[in-house]
Amino acid sequence: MELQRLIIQRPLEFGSILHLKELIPVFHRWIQEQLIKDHLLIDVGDYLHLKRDPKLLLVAHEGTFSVIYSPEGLVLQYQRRRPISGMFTQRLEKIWNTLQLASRLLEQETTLEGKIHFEANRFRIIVNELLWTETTENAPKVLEETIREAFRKEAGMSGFTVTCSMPETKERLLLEFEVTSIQDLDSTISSVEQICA
Amino acid sequence: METTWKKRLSGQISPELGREIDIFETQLELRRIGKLDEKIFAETRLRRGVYGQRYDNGRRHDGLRTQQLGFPTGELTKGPETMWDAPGMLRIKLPFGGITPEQMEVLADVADEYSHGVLHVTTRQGFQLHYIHIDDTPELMRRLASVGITTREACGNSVRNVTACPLAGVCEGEAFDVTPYAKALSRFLLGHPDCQDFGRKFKIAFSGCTDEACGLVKMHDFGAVARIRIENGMERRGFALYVGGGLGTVTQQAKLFDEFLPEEELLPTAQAVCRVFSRLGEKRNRARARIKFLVKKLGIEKFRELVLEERKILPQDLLWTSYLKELPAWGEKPLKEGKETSLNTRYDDFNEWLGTNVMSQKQKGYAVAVVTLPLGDLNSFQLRQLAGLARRYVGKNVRTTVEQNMIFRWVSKADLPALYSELEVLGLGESGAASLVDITACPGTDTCKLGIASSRGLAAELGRTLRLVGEDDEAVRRLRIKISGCFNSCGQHHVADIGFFGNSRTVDGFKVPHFQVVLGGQWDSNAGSFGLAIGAVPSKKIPEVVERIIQQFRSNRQQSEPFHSFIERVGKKQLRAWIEDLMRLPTHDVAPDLYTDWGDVREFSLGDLGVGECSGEVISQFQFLLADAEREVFEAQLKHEEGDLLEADSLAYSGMLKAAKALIQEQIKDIGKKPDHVVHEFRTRFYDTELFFDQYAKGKFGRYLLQRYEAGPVGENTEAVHQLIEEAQLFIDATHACSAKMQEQSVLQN
Repeated sequence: MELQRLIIQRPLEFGSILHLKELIPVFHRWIQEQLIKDHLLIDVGDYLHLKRDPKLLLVAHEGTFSVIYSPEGLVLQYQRRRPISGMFTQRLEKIWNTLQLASRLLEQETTLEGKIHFEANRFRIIVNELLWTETTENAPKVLEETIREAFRKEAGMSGFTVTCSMPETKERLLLEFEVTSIQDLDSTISSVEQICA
Repeated sequence: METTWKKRLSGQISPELGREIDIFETQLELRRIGKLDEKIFAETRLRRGVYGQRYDNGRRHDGLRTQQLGFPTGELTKGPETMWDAPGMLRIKLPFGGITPEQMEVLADVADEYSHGVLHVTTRQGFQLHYIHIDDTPELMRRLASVGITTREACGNSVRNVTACPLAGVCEGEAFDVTPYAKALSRFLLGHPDCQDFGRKFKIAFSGCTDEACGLVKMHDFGAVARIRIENGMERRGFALYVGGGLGTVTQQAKLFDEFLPEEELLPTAQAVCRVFSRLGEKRNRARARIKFLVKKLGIEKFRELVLEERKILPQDLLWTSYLKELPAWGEKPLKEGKETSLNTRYDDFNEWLGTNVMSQKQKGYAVAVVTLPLGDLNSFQLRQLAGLARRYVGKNVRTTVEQNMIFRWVSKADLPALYSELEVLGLGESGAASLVDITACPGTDTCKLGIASSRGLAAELGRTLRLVGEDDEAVRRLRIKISGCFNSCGQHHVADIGFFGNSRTVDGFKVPHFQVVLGGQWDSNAGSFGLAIGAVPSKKIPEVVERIIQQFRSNRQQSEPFHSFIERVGKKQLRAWIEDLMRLPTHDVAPDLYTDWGDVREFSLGDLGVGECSGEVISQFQFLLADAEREVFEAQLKHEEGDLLEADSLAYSGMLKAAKALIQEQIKDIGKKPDHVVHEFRTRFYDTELFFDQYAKGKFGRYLLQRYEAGPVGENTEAVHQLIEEAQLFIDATHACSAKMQEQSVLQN
């Protein structure tokens, strides 16, 4: 089956001090200006009352952006909701680019006065599709190798490490990537897409 | 071959439930290709729990202007003014709030995959998921069905989730455990033919006692309070039965229908009430279509008389009493041995939690522990972890509450410290259950199409500030705050000590979110009385209202005077005087923030209000059956294309029978499903009388049904089956025409 429901996360640099309420007007403005390419931004969801995630949502028809807390700190997450056509790498590229755009917008957001910086070399991919995980034999390995192979083909990406975890508590399959730099990854994913297309 | 949930779960879903979901999937397809009317589809999906959500009309005020939301499927709708692609809500029924660890895990999974990982416990002991795409709903329903959960009749003009006291079976004060009765009635009325033609929704509650809040019976359409009567030295179980209660814009306390209804009469009486409501309840004016208006119009005596007459003529049903035979074996099984232990030995937070969130059960050594959910929300991770805790501490003995919390029952008292520690790690160890800080709120403007003001925003703010302040006065701590985003009372503000419902006022030329202050409602005595509306106050000033009212109660109550008595004694005039200055606002240029709503930086607007789906579209039983008949003929075409000719033949014939039955039911109610009966009645009432005849084709279309009935299946002949399908479609068209003719004749006769 086609793996469609992916989540990508990028952690903020350790020490980023941000009051999450500051993001509410920012997200509302993104909606006013429809700033995310190929997305219909609809609403802002406020879950600051929860002691757990998500804290804030920016809901689009195509996917949901959220700001969550991980054990290491704040994380920006993009959860793809609607299917994307094309090969896996094409879908991955599209999802990645969307998260990158949101990350850049937040880093450049003047009202936040430079409080947000994303880590340059880490990101996570979560498989939000239980059926794929359950029906793919050795799913963690398959996913890891698929992505690893895609990156490896583009020399220069040999320096990254992948940690894969499949928690015993029925949480979702998660892959943690450490790369040389996100910029390298940007160009790599684009190149992989060109090769596979 | 592609793996799908349908294939993967085959064998794990009851055939009946599986078939229902398959039918819904076909109905989605029919709507998508324009073969199912949008109003009929709207009520169809509502009866499957698939509800609308704010902005689904394709418009949203972004603070500067109203944006048109250009969804990919363009003009396709899933109901009037409801865009296909727009995010929606799925309401999930849990009769009496009962939930198992397996169900919790599946709910967590579907929240992750189809929503955004947050689950909301409703004020009717169910769950809601938001931001759901309608295309995902059949798959989602299958996954829920695999663990025995249905969304059927969670919305629309139907019997909603049957609620019951969450302490049923473990409470010291109850007459007996109402759980098996709630379960039986819920099952009996689900999809029952006598419950498919209501003008509005129908809510049922069960209570084990009279004095506590318990099931809030008196605000329900149909409420049963457990009673025991001694007859000939023997205990006999029954219920004090109440009907016609309700909140909303016109509140009404339920009327006593019967002081003691024997247990074996519960299900048939409910059926008879449903029949009377179905037959005589208002259908056109939705604002007056709840059963409370019918009870008021007829008077309880006349209403009772009609129900009892109906009861006498009901066809006997084994289901009325079959569940009673299983009652002796009924009972929850504790997972662990109950152990009394000295608990007051740990740090303050635990002791506080123990004081507010834990109650001893009537069973020695066991306690009930409340898991407080802020605004009724928890995330998928928390729910999965709760499932794990349930497995370790209580097994299947978990329930949701109408105060939007969850409870663990049958906790061995010795386990309470460990359970608390684990809940705390999950962020679910908050104390203050059923107290001032445990605020109930409907979704309001966050997601509801009818929300006027932000009930959740206000609840979050009040919860935060009241927790910070703390409260030493026990009488104050026990006050309840409940908030609705509009007058429809989903937050049950009428039965709170301090209640609020959202509205709007124009001040200084700007629309400003306000809340009407409602004081002195009675939660106890099964929602014993409703509060007094005092006046509307700007939303941002509500925290000051709460502070003042509490201060007055703290200072001026007479010894051990309950809050509702205090409010009644003080009177509306004085109450209003206490908060009158808060009703005024400085001009917009001085304090623009006071003109906005909690948690929303946009300029306040009523532009996002949509058309409510609370009551659904009023679609007659005839329209439903006809739509279903057409769906079967459509499925027959698909089967024909697949080469499954026998199934195609069967579906086409079944479609004609359904259409005939729709017509017959316009004249007689109890027709049943047997083809012999349906065809006989059709022949005598519509064919022989020529009522079904077409002006030009005469009896040709009617003969299609009669011929198929007499000749039997047409066999595996592709042309013959194709012809039968076409005839079935023509028969359905003729049924529409016949119904229109009957309506015209009826108008002329009147």
